[in-house]
Amino acid sequence: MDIRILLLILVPLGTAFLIPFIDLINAKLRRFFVLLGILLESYLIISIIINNFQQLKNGEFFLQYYLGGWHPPLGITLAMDALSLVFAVITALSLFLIVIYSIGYIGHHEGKYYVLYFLIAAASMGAILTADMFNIYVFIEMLTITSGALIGFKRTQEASAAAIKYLIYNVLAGLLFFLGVLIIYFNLGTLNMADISQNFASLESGIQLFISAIFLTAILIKMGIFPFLFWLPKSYDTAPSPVTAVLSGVLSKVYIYIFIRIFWTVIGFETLEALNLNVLLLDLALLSSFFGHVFALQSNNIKRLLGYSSIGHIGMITAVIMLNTEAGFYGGLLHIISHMFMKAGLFVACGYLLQYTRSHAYRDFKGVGIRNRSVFIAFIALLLSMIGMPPLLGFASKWYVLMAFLEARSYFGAFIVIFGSLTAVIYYLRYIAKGFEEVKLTEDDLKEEIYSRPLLSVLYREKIVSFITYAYTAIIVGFGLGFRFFDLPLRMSIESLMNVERYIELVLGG
Amino acid sequence: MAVIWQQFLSSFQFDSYFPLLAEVGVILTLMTALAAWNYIKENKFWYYILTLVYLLSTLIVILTNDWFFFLFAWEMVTLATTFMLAWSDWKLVRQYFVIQFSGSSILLFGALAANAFGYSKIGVIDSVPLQFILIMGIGMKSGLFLFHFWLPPIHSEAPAPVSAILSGWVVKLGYIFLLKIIPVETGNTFLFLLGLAMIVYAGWQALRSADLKIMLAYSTVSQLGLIALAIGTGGKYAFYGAVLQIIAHGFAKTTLFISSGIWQKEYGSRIIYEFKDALSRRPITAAATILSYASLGAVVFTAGYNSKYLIKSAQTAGLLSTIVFFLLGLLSFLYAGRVLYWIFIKDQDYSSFFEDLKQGFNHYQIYSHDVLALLIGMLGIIVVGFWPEMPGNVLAALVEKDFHLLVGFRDTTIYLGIAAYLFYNHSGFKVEARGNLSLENYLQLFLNFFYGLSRRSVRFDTEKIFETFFYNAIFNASQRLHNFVYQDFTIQLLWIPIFLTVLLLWQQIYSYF
Repeated sequence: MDIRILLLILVPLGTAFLIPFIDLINAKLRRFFVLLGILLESYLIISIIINNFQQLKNGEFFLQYYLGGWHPPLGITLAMDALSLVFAVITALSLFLIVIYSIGYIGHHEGKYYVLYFLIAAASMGAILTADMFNIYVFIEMLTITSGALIGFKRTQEASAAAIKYLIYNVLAGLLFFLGVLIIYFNLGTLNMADISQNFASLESGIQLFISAIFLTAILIKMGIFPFLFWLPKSYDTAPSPVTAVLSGVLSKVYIYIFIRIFWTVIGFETLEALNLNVLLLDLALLSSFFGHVFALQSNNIKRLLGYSSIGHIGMITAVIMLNTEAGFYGGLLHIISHMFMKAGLFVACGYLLQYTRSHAYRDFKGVGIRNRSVFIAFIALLLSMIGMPPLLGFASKWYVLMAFLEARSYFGAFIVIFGSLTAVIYYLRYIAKGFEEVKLTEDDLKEEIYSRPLLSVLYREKIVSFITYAYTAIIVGFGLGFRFFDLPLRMSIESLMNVERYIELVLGG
Repeated sequence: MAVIWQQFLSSFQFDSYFPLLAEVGVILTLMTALAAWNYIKENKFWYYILTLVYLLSTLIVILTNDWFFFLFAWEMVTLATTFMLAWSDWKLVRQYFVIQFSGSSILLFGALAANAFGYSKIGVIDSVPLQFILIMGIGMKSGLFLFHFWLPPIHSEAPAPVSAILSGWVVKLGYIFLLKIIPVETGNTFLFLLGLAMIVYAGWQALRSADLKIMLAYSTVSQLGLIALAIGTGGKYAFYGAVLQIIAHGFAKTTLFISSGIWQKEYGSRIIYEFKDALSRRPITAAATILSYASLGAVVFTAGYNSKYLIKSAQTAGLLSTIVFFLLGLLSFLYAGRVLYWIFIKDQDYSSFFEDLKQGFNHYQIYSHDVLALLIGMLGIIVVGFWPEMPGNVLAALVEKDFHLLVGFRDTTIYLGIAAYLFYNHSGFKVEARGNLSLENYLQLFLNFFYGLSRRSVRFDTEKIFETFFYNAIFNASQRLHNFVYQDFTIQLLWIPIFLTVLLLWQQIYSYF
């Protein structure tokens, strides 16, 4: 019983509900309150790590909390093993950086924005920490609805269209997930993950297949793997930059975590292997990665392009995890971390670079690099990391992914990794070249500039915004040189991931 | 971090001739740094920072035996030299970067394959297919035959000190790597044939260039061919020959590129027909040029003679190899001698030589840094020429080796006679200077050929070749795929039931395969 894991969810939730009351007192106080909330969250995480450092080193780290004192399998349990700790830490770090960025970036409707943002924070923490199927469904729905509202935050026509499309897709996915939870409950009479995991093998194979298929469809929709990638680029494009950074940096990683949790801990990878679904999923994820990179080639919109490249990277991560080898998990988890920082950093930098341009289109990207030289250089460093240049973090993670594919003799996977890097060179170099092009303004351009649309976002606090961009770049460069720092946490989380029996024993017996 | 640092330190190896090569690399970099002191005017600080990065990374590339640090350091060499090209033109930076990136991706693939086959450290590799992949990998970076197409345009357009670095040492790194991986006993036949093709083709191109720097770039390819041939031959003396050739060519080519910078400033041109009174205007530069070309042409008592003799002596003895190597020697002597003929002999007036020399009539005030760089280069050529075992008997096996200087003297005399006869009767093989030699023109030629097949003459704006051909083809192809996959929203939603059905029927589908 450790109350801090409950507080990890309650602090952002409480912040979200208190923000409107703070607004009643003084709207300027809101920013400090938001900062206070996120700092408290960081403090909790750091204190959890420091207090349990010895256990972490010995590989026996496990914390749990029974809500209302009801022990499993009756009550709801929150459990934190090494895998969830790693995800919680990187999620909290990303959320922390993006909150500071939002303080500089969001200049209007701030109150609503922060309420939704902290609901996302609470829901993602909850989805990572909970050990209960129905609870995870609740948190997924919370994530869907809040992020849907944030995608439509600009209230333009495209933004609303994208938000509606996003909601249709994700509510359908939530429905499927709910159906899966219901079927599990009617067949096993329990909702605790460890309990389900213990008894799942006793089900008929037809029901096993149906449950796996439903969960698979639901989570693949959420992650944006090939047949369901359609909602992703549009919503990434129209959302404000910090929201996109959250969508790409945090939400997709949370869904990957749920994917791992359900298909390794709850359903079990042996079930997938017995149903031969692992082969299908591996190839599907690689195909999705291929499509993502190819679609990125034709994109004339920088934020959409980054969305397509996200599809490519998430497909690659899913595929390398589906190998179910130690090297695969190592590469996959490292790439999750590096992709989280790279993509969030890129969207954050985009938010700064696109502040005065008419649209996100390729032709309006002209001269961006000349106007904001230092941020553009940080942007280029992040792009190089996405491509996989050696001194940066992207290289290290791609290297491990590639080695994992080669070790498992999956040559299609190895091809996709190298293909991704090569196409990335093509589509990123194009934008870099455009960014350094001189702008020659004509009369017509000026007229169009003035009459087309008012300047929507003029940055509120420019220094904070550029500082966060540099911070992301520093993370990429620093951890690129010291990627061995992740060695211990990754090995820890792989151990806890591979050892399902221990998880079951600890949840049910502890 | 501490672990990686320990790995890094323990990966260094200081055996056989690699420390010697590393030392030569340091000396050559020092020469170019001296020459650059007055050549590079803007952002001098950054230039020297890049030189430092380049120097440290070359040392790692030569001395490490760990694949990861090797690849990493080579990338750093590439990046440093790439940005050095910016002192000439950003266009070059882009082209060089793209070319080197594609080269390093092949090399990365090769390294991974080697790693997967169990060669966890860089060392002798016995499997021939793996050798082939790695040779292809360094091919683009080190200008092996058919991959050398980028080398003359870029080496000739770069600033003179950067050309000296690129041509003198960067391209050699690949051959130093090959010295590590090709087994001494067997060699590699494919490499041998590539080397032969390089010597003949690039030698011929060097013979018919009018531009000094382009000629130097082609002669680089030709001399690199000799290294490849030596490594491909296999055998102790052939490898020593390759090492000596790397060192000799390094000194000669660095000196030549530095002096080419001085000639260019003196005459405002790179065409060799326009160089008049060179000896009286720039005596030291002229001496350095003559000595270096003598080394390239394998005149006896120079560094080049020793290396070429070693390579020649490692071949299987017989009439055919004697004739072939005699002709190859003649070719390199001809293209080296032709430049000297045009600069110093043809249409020159030496009647008032001493007055001119005293008067010191010239256009370009030479600096002591430049003179020092040239003197170091000349010293290197002479030292390697007289002591092939190197100061301190580093290559101890060569102490006892008989270099047959009399035969060399005989051959040089014969070459000189043939060259004099040919130059006198063919007015020094005067050819028109080539037009602007650049990768864009190559692309234009290729496209003209390609479109010429359909009998339509299309004129392209070469500035936009990348945009029009390369990118648009990719763009349109991927857009077609995109439009095919992205149907309207109902069909997009239809994927959900389709996917579910496929999953539920997957057992049956799977059993068909």
